[in-house]
Amino acid sequence: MGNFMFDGFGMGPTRRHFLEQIGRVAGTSMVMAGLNAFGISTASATDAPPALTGSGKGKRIIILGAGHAGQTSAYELSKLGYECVVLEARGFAGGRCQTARKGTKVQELGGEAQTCKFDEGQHLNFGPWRIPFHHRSTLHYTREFGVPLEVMVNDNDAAYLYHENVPGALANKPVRKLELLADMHGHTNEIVAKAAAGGRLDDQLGADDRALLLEYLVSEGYLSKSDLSYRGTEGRGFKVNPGAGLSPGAGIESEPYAFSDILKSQLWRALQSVGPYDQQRTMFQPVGGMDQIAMAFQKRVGRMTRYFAEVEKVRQSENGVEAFYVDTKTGQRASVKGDYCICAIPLSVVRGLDINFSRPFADAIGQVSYALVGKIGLQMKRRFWELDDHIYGGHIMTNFSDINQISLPSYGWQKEKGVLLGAYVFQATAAQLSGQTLAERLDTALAAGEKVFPGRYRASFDSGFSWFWHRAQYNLGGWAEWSPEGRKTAYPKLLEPDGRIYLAGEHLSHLTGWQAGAFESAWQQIEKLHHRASA
Amino acid sequence: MTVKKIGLGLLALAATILMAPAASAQDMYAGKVGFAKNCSACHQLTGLGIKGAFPALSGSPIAQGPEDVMISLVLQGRGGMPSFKGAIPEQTLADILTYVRGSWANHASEVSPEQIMSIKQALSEVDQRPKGN
Repeated sequence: MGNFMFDGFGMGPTRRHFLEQIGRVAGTSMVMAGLNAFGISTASATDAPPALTGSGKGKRIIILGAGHAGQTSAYELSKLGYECVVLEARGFAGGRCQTARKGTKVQELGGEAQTCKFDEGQHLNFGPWRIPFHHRSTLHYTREFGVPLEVMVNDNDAAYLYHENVPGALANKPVRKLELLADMHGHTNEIVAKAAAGGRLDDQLGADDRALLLEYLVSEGYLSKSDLSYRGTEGRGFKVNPGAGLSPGAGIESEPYAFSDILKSQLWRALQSVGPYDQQRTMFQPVGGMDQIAMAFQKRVGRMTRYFAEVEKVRQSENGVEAFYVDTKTGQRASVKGDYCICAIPLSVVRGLDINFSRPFADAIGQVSYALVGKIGLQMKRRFWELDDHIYGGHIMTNFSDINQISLPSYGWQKEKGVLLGAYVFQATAAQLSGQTLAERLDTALAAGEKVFPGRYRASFDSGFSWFWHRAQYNLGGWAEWSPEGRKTAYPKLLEPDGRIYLAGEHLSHLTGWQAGAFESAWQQIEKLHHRASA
Repeated sequence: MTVKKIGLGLLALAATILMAPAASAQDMYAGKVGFAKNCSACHQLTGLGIKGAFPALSGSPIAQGPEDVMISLVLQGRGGMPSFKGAIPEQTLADILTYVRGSWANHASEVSPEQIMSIKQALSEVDQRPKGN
């Protein structure tokens, strides 16, 4: 074994090598300490449910809502012997974890009813659709339940970027991300390299560091070693792709875009040194749709769930909790009594319910906002993006104010048809798009896509599905949005029980809008509840 | 059509003109269109909202209250309502707010683009870019 600090790829130690070496010498605790020393938090991500001991036998927990937080609570608490009763307003479980496929029926609040007409085997995750590799709680359950995963292509260098109505030569045309990446890095590195070589960065760099920086800039940006210029690189693609024989033979190289055109186009807004924390590769999705996770839970907690049970009122006293609900199928009212209650309903809905929370707690609930979010799925008869454009998954990022982006499916490669995401919009844009009729929305989405894939987008269209979470009964929003003040004042209050009622859900996490937020919030709350109930 | 009927028609027209509100600086029709585009998904075209989900604007104390309160609310967003600061130009927003304040059961003052501009400038420049999950 050589010097463990320097046995990486000849470029100094990698973090992994360093930690592995520590681990061999000093064990896991040192690795964890090492990770923390590197500034990698090991405390924020939770890997597994709390290891709880003892028994909950003889105690009943009322769980409001069979979304992931409710499902998790029921699953984990029932393992300890608690009797769990889950009240779910809908006829199915999973909350926002839903997938549209053939026959899916939805009704918007104050809007139109839809029945999804996608072909057998086609689907759209209109709720959560991505599982980042570090959402260990989500991956804990997919592993435990054996929900098969596939890679969700969340970043595709071959995908297009498209900006309309911008100055310069790159306006109103699809540009592949790899062209832009290569040219933006190349041009930028050239400027910095020439400045460094000309001594203009000497007040910031010693001679040794300057030499190393130059090496980096040349290698990272594919600059000419002789004059530090960028003249393109094969990675940005060819005019004629190389192949066999003399023709195409070596192919014909492509020319870089002018730096000024790239800058003016603002297409660089889609580039970042590294993806935001929650958008990085490896990204996963369950095979067959995100709702496979909800269904896997339900196999285990379905017997505890009362469907079509819409909670109207909750009363808690020193001795217990009683939840009153109406069966929306029969109109009959009933109630269930328990020792404790886990309220796993979105706060956007909770604030409209008659629950005898304490005044400060109710006020805190009122402080959170909910995101307006919506998606449109379009089933295409022909996978033109794969066949004609050679793009397999990923996102077409645009500056279109009405649809934001087009996302290509990461399932069913090379099959005949496919469902792409034709719009993914938020806030004011979501308010506007959701104000259109279903037919208008589809037309908006098709008109936008037609700009990027002219002659093919509209012509390939089969059927569409659209859903807006702010117009969803029992959701009233996509996810919780906390203001910095709310995080300081209301959030900590809501993490503690109010009497015998515990809240749980993505809204009580810093992973708002992510399934992991719901799982990990439930884990925290059931641990508190169990300790109290065991005391 | 008889002369009598034409006469009645003219009378009705005159009555409509006379009963219209005093010359308005904001465009009620543009306001109605802007409302349909930006607000109706939740508050509904009737202005009645949906009980338990989206507040009614018709008869609402806020929609008929001080202009600056209503303007700030729409610019900044609250609860389930997004910020419309960057989404609607001042003149259009003035038309929409004036329409809301003067429609259905509401009888409140107009809102001007200048009022909106001055409140916009007072708001912090921090504009959160919406983020998808």
